[in-house]
Amino acid sequence: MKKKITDLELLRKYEPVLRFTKGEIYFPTDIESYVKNCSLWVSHPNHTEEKIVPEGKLTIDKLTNKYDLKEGDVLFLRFVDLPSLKKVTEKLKEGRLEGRAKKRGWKPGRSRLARVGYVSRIIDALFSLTLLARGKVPGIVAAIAEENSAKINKLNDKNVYYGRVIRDNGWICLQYWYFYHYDDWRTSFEGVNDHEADWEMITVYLYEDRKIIKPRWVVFSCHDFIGDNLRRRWDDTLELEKIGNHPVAYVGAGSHASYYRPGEYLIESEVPFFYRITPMIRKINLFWQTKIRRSIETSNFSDQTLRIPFVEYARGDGISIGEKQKRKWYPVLISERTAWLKDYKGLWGLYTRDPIGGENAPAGPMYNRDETPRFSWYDPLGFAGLDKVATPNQEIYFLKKEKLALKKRQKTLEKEVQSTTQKLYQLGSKRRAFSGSGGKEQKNTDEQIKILANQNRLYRQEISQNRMFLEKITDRINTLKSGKGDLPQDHIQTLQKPTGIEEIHFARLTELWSAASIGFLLVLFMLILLFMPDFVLLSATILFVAFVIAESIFRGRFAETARTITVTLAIVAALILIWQFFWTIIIVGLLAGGVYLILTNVREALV
Amino acid sequence: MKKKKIRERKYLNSLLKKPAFPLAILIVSAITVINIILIFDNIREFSLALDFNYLKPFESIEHIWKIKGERIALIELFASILLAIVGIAATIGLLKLKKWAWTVMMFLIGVGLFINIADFFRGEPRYPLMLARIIQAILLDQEPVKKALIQKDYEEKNN
Repeated sequence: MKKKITDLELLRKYEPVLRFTKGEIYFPTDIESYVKNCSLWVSHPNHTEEKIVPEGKLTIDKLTNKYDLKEGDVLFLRFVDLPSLKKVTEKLKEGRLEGRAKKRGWKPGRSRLARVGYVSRIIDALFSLTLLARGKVPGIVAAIAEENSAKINKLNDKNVYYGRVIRDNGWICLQYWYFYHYDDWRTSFEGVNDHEADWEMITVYLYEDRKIIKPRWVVFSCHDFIGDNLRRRWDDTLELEKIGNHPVAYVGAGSHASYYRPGEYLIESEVPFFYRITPMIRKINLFWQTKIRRSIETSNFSDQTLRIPFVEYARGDGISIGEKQKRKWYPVLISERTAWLKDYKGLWGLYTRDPIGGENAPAGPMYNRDETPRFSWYDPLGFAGLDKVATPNQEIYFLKKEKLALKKRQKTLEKEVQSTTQKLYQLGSKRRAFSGSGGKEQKNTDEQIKILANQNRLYRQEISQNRMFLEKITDRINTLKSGKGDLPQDHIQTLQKPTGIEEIHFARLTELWSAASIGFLLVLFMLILLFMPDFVLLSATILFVAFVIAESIFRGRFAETARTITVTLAIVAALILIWQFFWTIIIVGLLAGGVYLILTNVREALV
Repeated sequence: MKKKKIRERKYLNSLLKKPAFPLAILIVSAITVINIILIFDNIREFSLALDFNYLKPFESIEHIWKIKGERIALIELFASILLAIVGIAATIGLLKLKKWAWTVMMFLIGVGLFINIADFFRGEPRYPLMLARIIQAILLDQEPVKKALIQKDYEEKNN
């Protein structure tokens, strides 16, 4: 008799291989040694902080204790304690606090600002300025965290994942949770944020077919993205790399988000303020493209226009962990009952009071920062857009069920049509007999005929539709049975792709221009304000247009920019004309319409 | 029947033939030529008009010099001549279906529209000119125009 496979065996069978970028120093590790080196704090709403358990005294068990917290209190760990002045001086002497990964052999690619347009760069500049006002992890913390992490790793350099197995409506979800001491994306890899502690996750979805467990989908967590686009099918040889049964993930340097292919990714984060503006601009653009320009292509406006760009380096040229790699995994099984997961709802690192959240440490796998349940934990199917997708064997079953229900409905409808038609024949005969009498009975009969005829039409329409549905369902069942099914990427709407090599080799001058232009523009604008206060609007407009043109020349997109500017000016000018000559336009329009109608009708009459 | 057959043959021929020369280009070129003639007329009349100022009563150069100063008036004069020359080149290029001419013409229309809008806010609107440029911008941005230019470019490269 075949032995039933255990949860741990299942996890081991499909555990992913993680490939890191050269220069990365934080790898998945165990939480025990991390917690031992942390202190436990509480942050009160009045901006005061209190140490509850000092460094060295904290254990996993102590995390689950019930602490006397009040409304608005935030519980958090601190991996890097408040540094002494001596420590700060020592770290400053060692060198720069930012761009730290360059010392470890990491080479930056083309600047993120050189990869995007002007609007995104202005938004980015404003976002960077907000960092001055928002809470952020100081650069010194990254430097000390690096040292602390190295100390822990000297004693215990095991690469750990926390595995969870969930069985949900035919699916078996294997969740692999990875814990990192620190996220140094901003300070080391020119990214967006830094925070103490990092939790990342990869899920493999399996199903059972005739007592054989088969893999079907893989989902790599990537920032806050959710849904179908995150998912790759197990048999997708183009988009999913595997070593045997082990999917390969390329981990973003510093951020630890996972990617399916190696390379540099331009990730763009939407600014909450622009949520409403973006669809409006899209509609205007669509109208211009299709109605005025007579074009069928509508790809000129990108949703990314009003977003903050940042680059994720997932090159995979560094250390690898997993099957057939030098470093091996040490799995730890977890579940809803695991005490530290369930009972510790606080943050796993420093709480910086950042209102956007990017610089605050994350909560554990089970919770969000605000202690609400985490989507990927309580609904692993919905998180990956699989809540509407049945397992392949279930799909045939559900289709057959639907087919049966439709056939049953068809029979009922056919009977109804027969009966209604008989009644209609009867009423029609009666109506013809009463013809010319004009009495109440005739009116009633007419009314009944009308109602029944309508009803009959609806029945026949439904029968016809159902016939079509039945054919489609049968076709689908046959396709699934033949093993063809959908293409592996049919469910993907936006495929995340790394930047091409040719795009990465960008002129140095363009990069310099991209990096300096926004600041330069601001300085010139201030000079205009100071020295030409009477011509601010005109001068600023000329200045901005000149910068946009210079930018387009650098990028070799002058023609497109000239078009965009001219079309925008034409729209503005058209609005001015409409404003000035509104009634004239209406009168001329009506006159023209009238003349057109006369001509058309006269032509028709003459023919 | 005969008429129907002729119509069908015409339709089939139109499918086989190269796309017709876009009418939009002819209209844009015509408007630009009128502009240029009027600019030269302005220059001849010593009326300095930076912005193809043909619909406004001509001002004497002395009057403009008094208001704007000699240097500015001279700059405007040279700018007008330059724009006129570039306009001629762009028109010829556009009629020959050159891609660069499309870009230059679009840029010239943009500059003209910018000046028109600035004039409007200064209280010196020139509506007919504004309308002419709006029409030019819309016509030049038509997909068939772009297709014709791309096709010509492709043919030239392959020959």
